[in-house]
Amino acid sequence: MDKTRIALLSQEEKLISEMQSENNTDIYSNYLKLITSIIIKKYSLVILDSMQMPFFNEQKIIRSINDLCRNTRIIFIARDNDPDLIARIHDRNNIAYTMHYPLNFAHLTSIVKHIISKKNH
Amino acid sequence: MDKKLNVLVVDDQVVFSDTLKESLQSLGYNVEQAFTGETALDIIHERRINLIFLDVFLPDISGFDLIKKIQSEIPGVEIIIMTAYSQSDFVKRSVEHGSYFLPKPFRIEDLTTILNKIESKAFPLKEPDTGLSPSESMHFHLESTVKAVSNAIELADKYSDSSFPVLIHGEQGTGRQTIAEYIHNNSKRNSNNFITVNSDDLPDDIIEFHLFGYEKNAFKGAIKRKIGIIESAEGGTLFIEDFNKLPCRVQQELLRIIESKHLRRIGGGDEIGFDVRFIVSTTLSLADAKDNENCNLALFNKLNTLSLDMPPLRRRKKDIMDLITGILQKFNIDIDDFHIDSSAESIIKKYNWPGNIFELEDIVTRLILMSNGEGIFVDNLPIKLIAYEGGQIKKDYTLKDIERRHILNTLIKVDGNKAKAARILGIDRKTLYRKIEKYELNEYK
Repeated sequence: MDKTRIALLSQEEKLISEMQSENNTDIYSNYLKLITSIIIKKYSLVILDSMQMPFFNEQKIIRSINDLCRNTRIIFIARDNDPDLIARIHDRNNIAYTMHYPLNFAHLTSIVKHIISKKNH
Repeated sequence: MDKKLNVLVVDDQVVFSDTLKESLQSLGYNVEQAFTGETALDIIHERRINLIFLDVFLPDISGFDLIKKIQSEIPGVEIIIMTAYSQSDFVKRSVEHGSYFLPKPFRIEDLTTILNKIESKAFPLKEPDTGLSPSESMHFHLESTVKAVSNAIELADKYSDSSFPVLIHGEQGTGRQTIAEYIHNNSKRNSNNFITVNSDDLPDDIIEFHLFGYEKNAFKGAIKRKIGIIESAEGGTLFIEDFNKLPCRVQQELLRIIESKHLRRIGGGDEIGFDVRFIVSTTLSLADAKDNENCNLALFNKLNTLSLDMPPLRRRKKDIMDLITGILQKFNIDIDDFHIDSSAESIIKKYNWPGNIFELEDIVTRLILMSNGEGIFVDNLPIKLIAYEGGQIKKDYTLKDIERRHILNTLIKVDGNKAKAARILGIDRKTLYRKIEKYELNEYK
C-alpha cells in the first residue's frame, strides 16, 4: 500500500499536472493553508514553489514545516538559480533538494520516486 | 543575510535605461533591464525581482496592463511608474494600481527619496511578518542529568574551537543534528550557514549534484550551473546525516575533498577551494564500519579523529519528563497547566523508545493535539506503549488482551468503583459488567 502523501505548493500548471499524474498529491496555492494542513496530514513530501511564498520568508516557512513535521521531506523550487537564496534557505533547515526554474522534470520525478520508495519501505 | 535587492528597469529608451541602471547599481542594487513588456514578463518568470521601475509607454503592451500581470505573478512587489507625461491622470492611475509615481526626468536625489520611502514601508524590502514564529530551539534535547549526555556536551564544547571534522555516533532521533548545530553555534563559524544533508534522501546520481553542484551542459537538462551544497555552506558547517549511506563513489570523493579542501563541480574542470567544516553522523561503531561494505573505512577513520556519542533515550530515562517539558514549551504550553496522568507517566517511562527523542516528540505532539492541550492520559496513549512490557512488545497481544488490560487498569485506578470506571471507559455499567465477566476479572465482579 502506498503510504505516502504529497503536498505541492504551486500554481504552475505543468508542475501540477506532472505531480497529479502519478501521485497522491494535494495542491495548495496558499502557504498558510499548507502549513495548517501539514499538522493533520503529515505529508511525506512537500514541494514548495517559491513563487507562492513571500520574499525573504522562505527560510522561516520551511523552518516552520521542519518544526511541525520532522519527517516531512522538502523539495524547494527557486524561481532562479540564486546561490545566495539557496544558501540562506538551507541554513538551519532540513531540505532534501533545491531546484530552480526551468524545472528538470526528470530529476524531480526521480527524487519523488526515491522518497516514496523510502517511505513505503 | 544578504538583502541586496533585485531591481528590474522596464523602459524602451535604451540610454535612459542604461543611466538608471548605473545609478541603481551605484546605490547597491542588482539591476536587470527589459526593453519590452514581454521581456519584462520573461525576466520575472526566471529571476527573483523585488522592485520594478516601469515606463508606462512600451512598444508592445500598456504599462498599466503590464502592472496587472506583474502583480498577479509577484503579489506585493513594489512598482515605480516613470513617465515624461506628469499629468494628474497618470498619478491617479499609479496610485490606483498601488504603485509609486516618478516623473521623468528625475535626479538621483528624487530616486533615493522614493527608494527610502519604499524601504521605510518595509515591504517587501524588509521581512514582512508572515505570522509564523521562528524555529523553536531544539536545545532542550541536550538538557540532561545523565552523564553520557554531559560527556557529549563537554566534548562538543572542546570541538567547537577546532575546524576538524567531527563524527557523531548515535541512533537516529537521539539529537545528533542538535549537537552538531550546538558545535556550530559555539564556533567561530556561527555567523555563517549550518546546512544539513540527509544521505538517504536522494537517489545516488542526484546526491552528487546536490553535494558538489554541476556546470552548465554537464548532462542533458543541465541548462544552468548549479552551486552544490558544500559551496553553499562556505565559511560555515555542513552536517551530513548517516554519511555511510552515501554511495561508495561519493564517500571516496568526500574523502578527497575533505583532505584537499578543493572540489570539482560535476562536468567542471577547475578545482574550487572552499572553507567548510564537516560534521557527520553514523549509527555505526568502528567495528560495524569494518564489516559494512558500503562504508569507506578511510573516510570513517578520517572523520573519527574527533568523535562523540549521543546516547539513546532508553539510557536517559531520567530526562524524559524534562524532554516532555521542552516539547510543551515548543507549543507555548506551561507544564503547570498540563496534566500528566501518573499511570501514563509510568507507562511512558517504562517504554524503551526505539525512535528516541523524535519518537517521544511525535507521540507527545499527537497527545497534545488529542487532548486539546490539556494533558497526557492513559486512554490516549498509543497501544504500542500500553502493550510494552519488560523490555519488549509482546508480539502475541491481541486487541482483546489490550482491552482486558485497559479495563483492569481503569478498575485499579478507581479502586473498583464500576460507575467511575464505566464513565472513564465511555461505556455503560451493563457493558462493563459484561466485559468483567467475559475477561474473568473475578475480583471486580
